[in-house]
Amino acid sequence: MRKQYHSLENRIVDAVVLILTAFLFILCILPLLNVLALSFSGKEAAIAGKVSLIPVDFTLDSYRYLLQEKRFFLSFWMSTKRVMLGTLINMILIVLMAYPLSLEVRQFPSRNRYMWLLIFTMLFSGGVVPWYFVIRGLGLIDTIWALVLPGAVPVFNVILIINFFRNIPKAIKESAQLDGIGPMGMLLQILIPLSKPALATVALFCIVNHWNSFFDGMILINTPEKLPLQTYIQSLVIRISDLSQSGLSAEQLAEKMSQRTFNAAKIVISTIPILVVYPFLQRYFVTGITLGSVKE
Amino acid sequence: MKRKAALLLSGVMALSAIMGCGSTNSQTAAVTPGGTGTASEAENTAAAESTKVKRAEDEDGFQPLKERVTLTIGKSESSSDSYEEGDTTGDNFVLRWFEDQLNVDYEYAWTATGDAYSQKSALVISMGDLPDVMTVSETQMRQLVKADLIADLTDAYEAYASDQLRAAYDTTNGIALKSATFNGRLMAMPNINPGADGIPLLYVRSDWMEELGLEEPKTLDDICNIVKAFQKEKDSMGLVACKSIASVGNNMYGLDALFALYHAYPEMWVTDENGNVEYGSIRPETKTALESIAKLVQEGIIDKDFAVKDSDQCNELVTSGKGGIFFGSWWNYSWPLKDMWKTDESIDWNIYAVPLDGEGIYNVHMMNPSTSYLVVRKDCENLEAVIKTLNLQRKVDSNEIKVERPRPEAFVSWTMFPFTILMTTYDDKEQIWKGLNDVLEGNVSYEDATERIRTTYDSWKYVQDHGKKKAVEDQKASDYGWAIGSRAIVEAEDHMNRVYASTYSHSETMDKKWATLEKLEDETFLQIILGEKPIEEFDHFVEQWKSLGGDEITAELQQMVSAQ
Repeated sequence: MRKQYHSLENRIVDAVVLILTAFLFILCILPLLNVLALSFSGKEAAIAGKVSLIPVDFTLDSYRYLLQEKRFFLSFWMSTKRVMLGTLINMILIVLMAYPLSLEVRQFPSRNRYMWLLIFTMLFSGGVVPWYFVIRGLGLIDTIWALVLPGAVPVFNVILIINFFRNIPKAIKESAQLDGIGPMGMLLQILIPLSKPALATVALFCIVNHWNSFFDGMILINTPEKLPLQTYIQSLVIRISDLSQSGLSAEQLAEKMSQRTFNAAKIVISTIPILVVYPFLQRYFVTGITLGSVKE
Repeated sequence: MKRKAALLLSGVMALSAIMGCGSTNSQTAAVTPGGTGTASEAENTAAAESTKVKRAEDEDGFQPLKERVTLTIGKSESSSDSYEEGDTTGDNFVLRWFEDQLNVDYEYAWTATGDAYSQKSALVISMGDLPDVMTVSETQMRQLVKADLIADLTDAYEAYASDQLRAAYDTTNGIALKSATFNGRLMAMPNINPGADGIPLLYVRSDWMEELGLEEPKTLDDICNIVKAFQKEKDSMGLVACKSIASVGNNMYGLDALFALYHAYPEMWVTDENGNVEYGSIRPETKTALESIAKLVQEGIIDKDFAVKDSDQCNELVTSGKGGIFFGSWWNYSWPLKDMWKTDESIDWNIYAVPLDGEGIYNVHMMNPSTSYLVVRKDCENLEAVIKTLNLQRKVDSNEIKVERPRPEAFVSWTMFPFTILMTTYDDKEQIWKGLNDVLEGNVSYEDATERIRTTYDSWKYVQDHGKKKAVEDQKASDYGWAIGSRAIVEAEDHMNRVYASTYSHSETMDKKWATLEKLEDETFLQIILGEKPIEEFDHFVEQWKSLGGDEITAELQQMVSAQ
């Protein structure tokens, strides 16, 4: 066994995998490091493009200035509210939807019909204009509900959970039923506790999704003070080529350029919540599997 | 089981990470302005329906409205705006001042910044759900006129436009208003950008010139000699240029001036010998210019790596002292060049309007004065309020009147005015030096000068009194820098030949085919300049360009021009 593992062939495969992974890792991490370095650099160095991975003329000015920027924190709070509210709604609906759909056709005869309806919405959508029409017609425009209700059921995540529920050994479910458990009890006492890793993953998806999405904020929110954080940041980070067509005067263009370090600081701060949440959820990823509860 | 689940989850996560980016993109792309289907006869009815308004006796365009009215606005905000404590985008001292002056309530239906604004305006146009007033692009204006969704402003403009606003439009040689006129009716109010932004100027390190005893450049040969001297003695690179070789507008590190030397105006619709519209890039002059530029690159006069550089990289080369000569805009002296004084005060730059052609004339292509248009919803009845707001915005821009600030250092920018539309004059930047010069010469007293000129004079004095380094450190040098840039244009005035486009409009076919044509042009020009393809390739390009839709577009534009 041991000998086989250390065979040349295996080693080569290992090396290739390692190199590829390292390469991908570097591709992902470099831009982040650049932004981080920019946020700690002096203005002039940043404009001159001298900053790559290590801050030049180290300064905390950008962060100091950021603390005074009211709108950033308004948006930060808006995004936080959105994540909490949105994820809560997402999780409740995902679980409530996944449970019946995870039953067998024998137990829930029209199950497949619902399943197809669900998948249809995943593949086809009405397009942006009708989507906007509906949301406006419901009077959600310019409220936080416009950001959380239209995507309240993430179909992809529902399917994930359906499959996870199904994979829980039938023996466990049956023995619970023998003990006289009802459908609600089955969901709350058996399925949810056993699905913690899947639920944690899906919750993370929802959190990241809510935190990162900027497009809906751009279209559905009319008041700048209510913009979610990523939409706000997106409006700051614009390329020079767009600027030259935006009808801005030369002086303003120059001023925009000089805010580079400041904007980098905003981006760095905006990634912190996700970085904080991640480790807490990660511990569920590997634990909680149903190993050892039944003998087959 | 355990491993399977873990594998599934990690696989799914990786997948969603990849797909995450893709889906947002497709969503963004899905927004297309529609609603162009209706009524081509709209243009005719628009003219007939317009309300007749007569100019009152005491009307100078600044009288407050007799009854308070409300205008809803689609607001384009600038991300660099900042508000006083307690103020917001929709309610701030600038807006309140405008409201008090004119007895108008400004209400923002929605507010967005930059890219988000164009997305949002495209959306409301495709739904026909317009606010009273919003700013749109030229293409969008055409769609709106065609769909008969916007009001005819001809009579309101006649009745209420202030003399000052009219004079401002006059500085554009009528280009601005003409671009918004359909069948003789004014359908939108164009903005006015300062034309100086599009005039290329040659920047040369003057401290190096002095040290090497070089003469002021006049012709292309003079420029080549300076570059060679810099390369030899200063170990500097050639003329700094970036990949955007020609562009009518703000074009730092471009080569537009070299094209214009040969009377070639690429990327611009020019008027040919017979008075017809023709695309500048396909004219024989452009071929000559390309040949000459290719030679310069081959000789190393122009930095060979220009094709892979963007303006950021060029900024770095110039401010770090690796390059000492480039074509820039009037404002480059102020930014980024003046920051070099922080480290070394002896660095300085001369600005020239060269190279001159055989007759000693400096040819320049002039940029489009109007890039955004203010449109008013068709059934909006408060046209008076709209025009008067523009009058007032123009008056503030001219510094004749000032927005009252709660505290002296409160931030005010034109993007915070009710309408985000710049109402300056086409010759606005030239006026900086003219005004300052009047004060310096003693023709106008400091007290009588406008506030801008006073600020410029203060900055000028500050640099004279305290030196450049101190002025930059105290942030007093910007206006000085702008004045120097403005001077370069004003002093070249008597031998400057301003060339205007036959039309700055976009035609319908351009929406579909321009991207291809542009790519073809960019690639061919680059290949010729870099010497990868012989100059004969140009003729092939012209043929291809014509057959790929160029002819069609030319015909469309010709029709537009003839119609006006």
